[in-house]
Amino acid sequence: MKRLSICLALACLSLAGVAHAGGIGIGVFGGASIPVIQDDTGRGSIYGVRVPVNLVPLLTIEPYFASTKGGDVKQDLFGSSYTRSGLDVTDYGANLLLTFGGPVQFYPFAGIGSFKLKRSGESDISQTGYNFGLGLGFGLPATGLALHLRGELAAAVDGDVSRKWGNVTAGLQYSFLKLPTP
Amino acid sequence: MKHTMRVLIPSLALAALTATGCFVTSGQVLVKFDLPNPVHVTNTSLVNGIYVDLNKISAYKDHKDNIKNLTDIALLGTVTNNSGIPVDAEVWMVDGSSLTLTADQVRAQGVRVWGPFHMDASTGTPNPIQIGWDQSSALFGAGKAPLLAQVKGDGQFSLYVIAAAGTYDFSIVNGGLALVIGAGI
Repeated sequence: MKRLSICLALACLSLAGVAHAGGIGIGVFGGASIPVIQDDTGRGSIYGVRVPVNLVPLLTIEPYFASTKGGDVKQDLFGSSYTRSGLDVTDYGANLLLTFGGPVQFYPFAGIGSFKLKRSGESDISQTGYNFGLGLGFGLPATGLALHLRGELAAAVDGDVSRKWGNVTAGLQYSFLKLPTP
Repeated sequence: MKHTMRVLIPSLALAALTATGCFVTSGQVLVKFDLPNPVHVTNTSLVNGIYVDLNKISAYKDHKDNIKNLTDIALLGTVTNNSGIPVDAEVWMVDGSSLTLTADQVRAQGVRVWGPFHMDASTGTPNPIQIGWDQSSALFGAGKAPLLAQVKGDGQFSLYVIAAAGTYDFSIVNGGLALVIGAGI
């Protein structure tokens, strides 16, 4: 409850001080990737690159590339222990961020991408994927750098079913081009 | 403008969810079926079918109406070649109740769903091999589709363990079929 109150307070502060500065940046990120209701792959790691492009107030388009290394999963089956290799995912696409705030940013986001699922000894599977989540950005004054923390649900969709992961990432972003405010 | 934007992204997310069906409420669920223990296979005796009724397994029963795909499958267990001749083990599937058939009848009536799994000749001392999950899953290949049809159908079929050809004598202990189904939850 205390954490929620702090988050809400931060969100309110950032919403109160909307100050737009357009620009283009580049960032790297990494973190944990946790399968959601998937019995055949384990917890793994994710890393990638994002290129946020902010041309109009509040909206940021962010092409991205991400690579997830799925962890192996162990199951006790039929009296013995068996290990299934983790499912690796490579995906690229674009997110749409609704960015509020100045040095401290709060932003919900949603994205679409192309997901490639790979596992040892199997053919690769390509699927359309979606993701959505929340992020917090902390700008470091006069450096052009910002720290970004995000939580998202990513889903690779196959008809009416999907494989889903909860991703928690931290990233460092550098704004290298400032654009005039419209 | 700000208000519109605040509504825009959640709306887009919801629209994406709606447009693609309710894919979020789905998962990959493990269904386990135990084989008889042990399974002994020789070319000198008829093949007893192993009747599989997935409806007796709660993980299957709970999702039966919402099964969409078969995301992973493996035949697991420890196999031993009891003869001095190399063996390529196979599993065939026949729709319906289990029967006692010859290997040729199995091939004529069924469809191969797994194999061949190669075992070197026995040197006299037992050399049990545990089949790996990764290794086994790769041996399903084209057999996945007919198996999925059964899984999405009545969930009742029979499996027959034979060898590709020739003289053979091998056994499987602690065997089972592990299916990972993609289903609505």
